[in-house]
Amino acid sequence: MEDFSISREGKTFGIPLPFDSKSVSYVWFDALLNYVTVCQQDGFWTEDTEKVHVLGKDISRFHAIYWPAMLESAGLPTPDKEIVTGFFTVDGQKMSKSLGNVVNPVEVVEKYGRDALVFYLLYDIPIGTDGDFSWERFHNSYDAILCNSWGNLVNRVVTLCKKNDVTSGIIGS
Amino acid sequence: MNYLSQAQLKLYLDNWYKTVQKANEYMQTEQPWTKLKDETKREEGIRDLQFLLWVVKQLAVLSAPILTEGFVKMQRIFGNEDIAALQSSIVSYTSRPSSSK
Repeated sequence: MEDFSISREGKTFGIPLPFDSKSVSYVWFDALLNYVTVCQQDGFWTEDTEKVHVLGKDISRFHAIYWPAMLESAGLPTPDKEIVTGFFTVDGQKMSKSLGNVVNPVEVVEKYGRDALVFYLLYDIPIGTDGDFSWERFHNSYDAILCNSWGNLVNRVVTLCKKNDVTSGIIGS
Repeated sequence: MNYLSQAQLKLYLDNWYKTVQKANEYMQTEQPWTKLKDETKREEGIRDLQFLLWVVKQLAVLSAPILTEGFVKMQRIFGNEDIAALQSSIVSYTSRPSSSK
């Protein structure tokens, strides 16, 4: 791998470099450092902690090549794992404002709850490849799996247990 | 749990869901509510419920990394207020805007 420049000359917006007054820091150089500066404050970036990055595939080059190189040059522990997610289409089409098919996660969470959205995304869209967000499959996972299957099981078991004073579960019968 | 550590979340949830289905099948087959009405089978019905309650609690724990809000609700139902409070604090910590961390 060739060296890469960590400075940008002639830019007015950026972190000034102490060794070069005409340049500022390359944005990916100072942005990536946030992982260490923030995580170290909370004790999360040490040799003993598992460091996992979850990122989109469009920024994998910076996380999988530049970032480990920066850390190794500073003698800091590198991430243990990079989980790279793909891009989404919606019902087979590119997500775009003009098509009016943008899925707003905040609105979905407000309407169906956080669990419903997280479950669907992780259940239906494999990590590591591009995926298609389908409203039909979203509703299916919400109704069939979370409500009818899991919710119904919990509801029936808890109701019957309460009614019959069963308070502790045991293994096997 | 290996699926989780390898970020094979779809496989993890597939297996979780299969177990949910198995538990529903068990409930439907054994029909503890019918046994509980019959004095000669009541004890068996109670054992079925104890087993199902154990399964539901295990499934709730396995769902915790994904269904974080549901897990908190379930722990409150089970009377595990301390676990609910702990999980709730983890969820609110990870939901905080990064600037406030």
